[in-house]
Amino acid sequence: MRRAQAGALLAAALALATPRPAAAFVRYVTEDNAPFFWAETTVAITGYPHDFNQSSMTPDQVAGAVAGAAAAWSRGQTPCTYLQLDTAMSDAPTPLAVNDARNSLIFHGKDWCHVAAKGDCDMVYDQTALAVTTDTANKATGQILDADVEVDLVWFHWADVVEDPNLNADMDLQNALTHEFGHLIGLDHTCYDALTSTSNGRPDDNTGAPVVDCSSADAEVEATTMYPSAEAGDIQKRTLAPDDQNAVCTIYSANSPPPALDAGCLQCATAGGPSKDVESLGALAALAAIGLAFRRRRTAAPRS
Amino acid sequence: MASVMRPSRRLFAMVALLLALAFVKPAAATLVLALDLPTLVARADQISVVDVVSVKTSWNADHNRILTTIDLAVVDCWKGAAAPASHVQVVQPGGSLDGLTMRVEGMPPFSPGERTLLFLRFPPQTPGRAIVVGMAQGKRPLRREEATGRWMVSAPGRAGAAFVRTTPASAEVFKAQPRPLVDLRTEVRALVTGAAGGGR
Repeated sequence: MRRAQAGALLAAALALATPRPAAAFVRYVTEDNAPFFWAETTVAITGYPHDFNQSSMTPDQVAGAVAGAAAAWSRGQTPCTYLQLDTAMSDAPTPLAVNDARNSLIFHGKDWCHVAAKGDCDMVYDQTALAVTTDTANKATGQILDADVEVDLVWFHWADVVEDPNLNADMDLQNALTHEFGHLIGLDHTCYDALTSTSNGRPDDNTGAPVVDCSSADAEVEATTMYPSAEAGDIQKRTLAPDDQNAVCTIYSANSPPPALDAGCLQCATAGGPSKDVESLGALAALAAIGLAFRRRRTAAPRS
Repeated sequence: MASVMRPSRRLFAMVALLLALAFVKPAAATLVLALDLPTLVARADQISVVDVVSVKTSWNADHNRILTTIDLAVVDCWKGAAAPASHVQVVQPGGSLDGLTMRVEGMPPFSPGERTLLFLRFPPQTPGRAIVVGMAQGKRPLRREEATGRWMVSAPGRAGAAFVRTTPASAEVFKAQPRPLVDLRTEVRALVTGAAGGGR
């Protein structure tokens, strides 16, 4: 019995000692409160480096940054998801960032603005923004129909800080794109700032709890790719934190069919959040094992 | 009894150690970046306390992008030449229309009836249409303090819109706590007239 007790306790401890259960992720929701999601297993993104006019990065480095950012959220690097972000680079002229069912990665090297069909700026972006991601979704279901990422080369200088560490005063392109691709798949930031949040009111995280304040976010939240700040030379966001992995693996879980393949379950996918949090279940199982061990000990041990 | 307890103590020690290790967190590596007050003031063509009159969504001319137009009534202008009760329009991408929601990260939300302090810029490319400086950073919510009746301006959090850069490097922007609006007005006015000696 003692051996069983010891085993249970050790198993419980080991379960709890593994990376802390993914605490929280936050999804975009429509005004109808439908969480954003892609219905496809593979989301194609085309990068247009035609207007990438900075010599700090080679075309290969730009393509590598795009592919690396996409890979972070894809099943190859994150096997618990079925999602695949497929990237391709095109030499074609830069398209417009509009709702056209084509997901475009656009570099603005001349004017940091949204370009209209006539080629003029119909919306100037603020110079503090490194990139702007626009997701267009069905308001009732949350299904994402189009997403575009626009990158600011007017006010910011970009580099591959891993390959060129001496350029660490520049912004790391893969770092920024990994964050932006998180938005592209429907993720919001991992903390809430009442002053600067785009959300109208504090959103809930995947557990149903109000998302934590950015001002009191712990190191674990700050380490996430979807934490809403970065600095020059930062490469931390290239790698998904457990919270980010939990997000993509919950919304696009490899263990459940994509909603597009199971029309009857479309409502399940859009009705509000994750089906389960595997890591939290692991923690609960560990606590249950501890409880069981103590119960066995109380029953077996003679009273003194 | 002692022989029963010893292994348990070792086990509990191991459990405690493993639990402790499980909750050790690395130091934060990401600094928080934001525009400081002098930069916000310098970049703004107009700084005003405003009332949000209306928020309307529409399609752009090409009918492929949703825009949100916010009509604002000026209450008190701190920089620029806007008269009280005059109107200003902010136009920003995103919104919901015709069964679609277009979400653009970093754009501040507005609600009709809301009173807020705005740092606005009027880009020459889009005459008559303002944008908020620093994306959501240039919108400071206001609230009236119940006890004193004073208007208070919210202090900024540590995080700005996604991927904002500090200019200059100090991210210590405003006070950490809500402060009286009149105090901030004095500080902003001093910065506008150049009497602040370089800011805080």
